[in-house]
Parts: sequence; C-alpha cells; structure tokens
Amino acid sequence: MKITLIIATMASLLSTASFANSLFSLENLERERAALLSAQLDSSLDLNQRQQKVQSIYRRLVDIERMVLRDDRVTSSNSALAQNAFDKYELTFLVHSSAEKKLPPLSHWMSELHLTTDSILTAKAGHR
Amino acid sequence: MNTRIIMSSLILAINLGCTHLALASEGRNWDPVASDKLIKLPANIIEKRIQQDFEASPMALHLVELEQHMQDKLSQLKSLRELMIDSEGDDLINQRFELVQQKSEYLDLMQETQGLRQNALAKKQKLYESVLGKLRNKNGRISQGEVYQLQQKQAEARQRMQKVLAQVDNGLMHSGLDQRSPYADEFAMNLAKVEALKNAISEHKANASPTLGNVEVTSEEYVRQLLMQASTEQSLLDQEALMFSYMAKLVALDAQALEYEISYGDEDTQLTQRNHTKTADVADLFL
Repeated sequence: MKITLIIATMASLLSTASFANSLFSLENLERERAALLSAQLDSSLDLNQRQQKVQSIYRRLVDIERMVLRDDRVTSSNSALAQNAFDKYELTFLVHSSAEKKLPPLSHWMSELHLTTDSILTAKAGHR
Repeated sequence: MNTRIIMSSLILAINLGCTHLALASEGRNWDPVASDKLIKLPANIIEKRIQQDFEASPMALHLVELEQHMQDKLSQLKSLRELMIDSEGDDLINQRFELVQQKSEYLDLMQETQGLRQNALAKKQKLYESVLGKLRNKNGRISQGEVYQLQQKQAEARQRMQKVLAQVDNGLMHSGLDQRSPYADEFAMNLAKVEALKNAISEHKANASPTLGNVEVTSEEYVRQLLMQASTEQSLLDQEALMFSYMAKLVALDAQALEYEISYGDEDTQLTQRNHTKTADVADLFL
C-alpha cells in the first residue's frame, strides 16, 4: 500500500511540468527574435545605440535558443507554432544557424528570405 | 458374469475418458486479458505477472490437486504391483483387476491434467499474441504520431546546435560579452549532475531492458521469445498426449486380456474335448 502511494506521489511529481505553458520558452524566443530584427531595422537608432541593443538581445537569444532546444515540453504538444519552428530551423534558431553559415544574424535572415540588395533596390513601393 | 460387466464398463470408461473429462474440467477456468495495465509493464515482468495470475486461478489450483491425486495413485499402483509378486490364483486375478482399474483412474487424472495444461497453454499463447499486437500498435502509433515526428525534429535541431555551441560562445567573447549569462553558468554547473542522474536512471534495475541470454532485447523481441517458448511447450505436450494415448491403449488391452482370461481361461488352459463315441469303435458290435 505504502509503495503504491510512493509511486503515485512520484508520478504526480513527474507530471507537474504539464501544468506549465508548454510553449512558454518558444514564445519567448519568437518575441526576442522579433525584437532583434526590429532593433536591426530600426532607423531611429544610431549605430551605437543599435549595436548596444542588438548585443543585449543577441546575448539573450543565445540562451533562449538553447533553452528551446533543450525543452521537451515544447514538442510534447503538437502545436502549429512548434511544428513551424522546427520546420524552419534556419529562421527560428537564427543565432545558431547564422553561426553555422558564418554570417551575421540579419544577413542570414535576409538571405533565407531571399532578400538581396538587388531585389531590394529594384523593388517598387506600392499597394498590394 | 458380474466381473465381465465390470470389465466391459471399464474398457468403455477408458475409451470415453475424453468426453467425461471435458465436462469435469468446466468451472475451473483461467481467463487472462491483455489489459493496458499489463502492456505498460516491462516485458520480463509481463511474463511473471501472467504466471502469477495463472497460479492464482482456479485452473492452476485444480492442477495442483490433480497432481497430488496422481502422486497418491502412483504409490497405490506401486504397492499393488509389489503385492502381486507373491499372489496367485483368485487373489492374483482380483489384484490384476484392481491394477487395471487403478491404471485407468490414473489415466483419467492424467488426461484431465493434460487437457488443463493444453487449455492453459493455448490461453497463454493467445495472451502473448495479444500483448505482442498491442506492443506493435503502440510502437507504430508512437513512430507515426505527429508529436513523435516533432520530437525527432527537436533532437535533430539539438544535435545541429551542439556543433556550433563553442563557435557562438566565441562570437560572444569577441563582441565583448565575455561574462557568461546566469543561465549558461547554472546550466553548465547542473549539467554534470544531470548526466550523473541520467546514468543512475539508465542503470537502475527497474528501468533495465529485458535480457535474453545476457543480451538486451526490446519488449517486442522478448514477447516473441515467450511465444516461441509456448510453441515448444505445445509441441512437448502433444508428444506427452501421444504417450498418454499409447498408455491408455495398453490399459484397454490389459483389461480386454483379463476379460478374456476370466471368461476363457489363460493361454495354458487346454480345450477339453468331450469324449464322444466313435462310430468305428462300435461298428464291431454290429458285425
């Protein structure tokens, strides 16, 4: 009887993780990556400000990308967000995948989206 | 006359043993089910659990009783054979009759035991097949499931990240971020302990994979091996059944021989020819 009680207690301890939002770390990653790209593209910032901001976000992204890759809760729910994140490794884990290509994160991001200097220069502003 | 009737009914009883015993074994059943709870157990425990369940069943308890009766009957047979060595005449005939009857009763018990063992084995085979089917379904479902696919992708991504960890850390150093983040610090400190705990889990005996001849095997492989063992047992039981049928035949022949002997005497008994007057002997009287 006591053994059954211990096993039940242990099982409940093991399952406490399921109460937390399983996509918490991934959602944080998405927010930080968006912040990085915004900071990179923010024309209101001067070079120094941008570098400072980007560096601190970059630092956080290094950690959070690792957290997501080590977080089993992310893949325990079959959510579209998680599916999409792992289908597009290059864009999701921007810091680590750009390091693989030996490119700065922004250049890597733009090359993954096929945004080249030429294509940007030949682009025309207009309504879609 | 009475002995002849008893002998004939004895032969009939031996021949009809099967039908009688099939009815006798009713109500002493074992109905195992491959429940989800059973499937979740480690494969080597599944085998023990099934055996435990069988041993607690009315069928197994009856088998134990039958075994005890068979042992008693065997000792009676042995003492009767010893007694017959010094007997002769009517005593010997009675003892031979008693022996055939005891053998027949022993065979009845043996047949009932055989039937129950065959039945138990068939149920065990069916159960193992059901367990194997459920294990295969479970593994198939897991490997085809979207969550599994996603977990595989995460594992691949983790491996990919592992290759550039040092490169990214160096990049941070070059950017003037030479102090590690609290997360990276704590993670590195915990990593060794996590590895030690993981090792302890993987080496824990309750988490050990089943083994066959000291080789670790999957649950599916282990259950397949159990099915193989059941087939071997089945084959040996079939052979025992054949031996049993020959023994029954011999007892039936013994009973028949005894019946003939009581009715017509033994082989040494000479046919007594009634004296009748031969025509040639009396022919002279008419001359």
